[in-house]
Amino acid sequence: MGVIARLPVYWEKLPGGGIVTTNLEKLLNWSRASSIWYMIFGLACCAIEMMAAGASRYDFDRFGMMFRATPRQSDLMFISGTITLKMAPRIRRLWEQLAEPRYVVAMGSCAISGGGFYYDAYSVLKGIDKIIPVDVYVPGCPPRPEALMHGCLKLQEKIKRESLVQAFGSFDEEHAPRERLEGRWILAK
Amino acid sequence: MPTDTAIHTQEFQVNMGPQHPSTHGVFRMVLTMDGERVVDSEPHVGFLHRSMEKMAENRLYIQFLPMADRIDYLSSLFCAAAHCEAVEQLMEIEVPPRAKYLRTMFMELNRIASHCIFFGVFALDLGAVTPFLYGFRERELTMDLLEMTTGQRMTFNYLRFGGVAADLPDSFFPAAEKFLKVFPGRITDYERILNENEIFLARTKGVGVVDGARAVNYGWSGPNLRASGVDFDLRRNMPYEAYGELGYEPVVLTRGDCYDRYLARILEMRASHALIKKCLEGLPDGPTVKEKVPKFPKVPAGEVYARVESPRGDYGLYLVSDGADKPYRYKLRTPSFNNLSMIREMLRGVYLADIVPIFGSLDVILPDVDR
Amino acid sequence: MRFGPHMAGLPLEQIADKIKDAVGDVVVDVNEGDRVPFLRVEAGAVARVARFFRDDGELAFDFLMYITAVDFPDEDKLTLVYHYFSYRDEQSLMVKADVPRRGGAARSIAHIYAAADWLEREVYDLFGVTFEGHPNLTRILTPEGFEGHPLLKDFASEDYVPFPDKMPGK
Repeated sequence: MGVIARLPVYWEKLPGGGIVTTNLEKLLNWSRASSIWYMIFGLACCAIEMMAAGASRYDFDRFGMMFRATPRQSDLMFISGTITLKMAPRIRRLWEQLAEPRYVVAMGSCAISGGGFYYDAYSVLKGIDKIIPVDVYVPGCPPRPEALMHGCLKLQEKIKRESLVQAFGSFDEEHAPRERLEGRWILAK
Repeated sequence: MPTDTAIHTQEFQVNMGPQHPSTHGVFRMVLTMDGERVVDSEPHVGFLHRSMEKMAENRLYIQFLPMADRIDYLSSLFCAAAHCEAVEQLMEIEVPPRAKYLRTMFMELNRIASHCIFFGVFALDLGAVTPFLYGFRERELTMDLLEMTTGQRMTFNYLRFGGVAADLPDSFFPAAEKFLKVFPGRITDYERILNENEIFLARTKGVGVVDGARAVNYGWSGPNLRASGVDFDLRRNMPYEAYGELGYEPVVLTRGDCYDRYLARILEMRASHALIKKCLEGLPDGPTVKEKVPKFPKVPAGEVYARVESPRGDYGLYLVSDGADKPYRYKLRTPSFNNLSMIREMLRGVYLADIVPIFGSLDVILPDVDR
Repeated sequence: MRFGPHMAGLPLEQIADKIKDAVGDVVVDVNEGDRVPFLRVEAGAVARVARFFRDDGELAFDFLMYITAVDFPDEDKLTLVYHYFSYRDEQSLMVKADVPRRGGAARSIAHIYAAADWLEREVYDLFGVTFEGHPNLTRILTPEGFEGHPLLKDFASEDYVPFPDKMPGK
């Protein structure tokens, strides 16, 4: 507490005093990357490792990442677990409900490519990037919580590299970037 | 009937969709509500149907072993144990005693890990965040022990036909001693946090009462059934592995409401702790795997039903073999499928807020339902 | 101790005789089996046998563990398997019935054993056996709009790539 109380004294001694210059992009990116709120979206086994990464020993909260239950309040969606064809349209709809700027981390081999096991499964979608764009792929079956954290730190680096135009896009309806990935099972009702 | 001065009401449908923080996975219910009360509900499952049974017909027995872990990932050793037991019974392989004790000990550790998650997630659903962190802290302790021996935290791939894959490392024994000393105090912590908490009691006592005979008719098993008064546990009634030598008394409660289902699992954690202690003290020497068991076995023709008592209930495998090196029919009898089928009847006439403790106390896991 | 037929209850021959007295001449085969004993009955009698099992006082088969089917394309039949268990006697018994592969049907026992509700839906979904009298016989596990019955041995669909016998590169 002592240092923080004396902080303004130290500031004043810096060249420039209590004025810091940066550019808006860096400031916004830093603030966005330091408080990514993720949606609890656990499908299968990787969900338990995601929960363990947010729980006592490996704590996500120290990176500013909290879990939120609804897509409207989150920036990030972990796709953790096997995606079945029945669930695919719902994941697409959930992704569309995430407010932009939004990010997706494909966690585990099932989300990356349908999983090594499910070669001949008739009901498994072979990889989530068939229907939504993915930012970071975290391999493993399941990936350890430390691996997931490494993936999140990489995502933070990615966010810090973005330009404002990329991140916020255009607020104009017509020019908003929209990726329409077609697929037989997306349009199924 | 609405009169001129009455307010006109209407039933409406609420979708408790596949993404919901309290549905423990991807489960969808369409609830027909009359105000705050549920009139009817329509459960939809199948969002995690990964066609395990079809894939098993195309895999060698040893190739399916890691996949068996992922059927019910919170109790993966039990799923692998059923697979190994079925093959061992058909091939008439006798497991050496040390391997039996190791299997039993790690299965009980896995049961503790699963019940820790149940405890944490059940409380989280009801709004309490602290027990979630406590439950996962203890789960990390058990996973440390498992990781020391098997190398994996969750889906272990530890069992082999005729024994286990690896023996205990030297660093296991001091860590296990520490765990056994610390754990009963932690369970007491859990009981102190929740067992007498007013909000918890108000939300779970008397909610979702299930009669024992009706539960049996629905095919319930496991701690859910024992909380309704049916005194049956595979570990005592039809013992397998080392349970016959160790002896086990199941936890049976009488009221059959959500609170009893929760309490049954907390008390089972204590019972598992005692079993692990007995296992460690009486661990026999010897080989950990039977020699000369072929890695790619050609299982003789026949059929067998192998049962284990998993944390969710009565997990069984009906294996039909035609003499080839791949199964002919691999039918998984998963406890959560039958446990969940009663949800429609249980939810008739309850308040919306009671759905979450009722569903949470069943401790269903969706890949177990959908396979 | 191995699992085996835990015959604390009545022996299999006696059960078959009781069924013959109560239900009729429907038992086709009595098989002690190596590990799980089973009775083979006619396909039209599974519901009557189920009701007899639940209501008879001497037997106590209160637990229907699962209903499944095994596909035998060479003999052109599906074998429905009902596995009963008795908590009182710790006795396990399977009842098997043969139905044709395409268009097979049996009477539903969902009103006798409540567990059969979802179990029969699963058999309908994966094998195509219809159960007459079921309150809601719809697909339960496969995605909406799925065609075909996956667990039949000759299932083919554009989503299903059979597992190769040799992995590429070997």
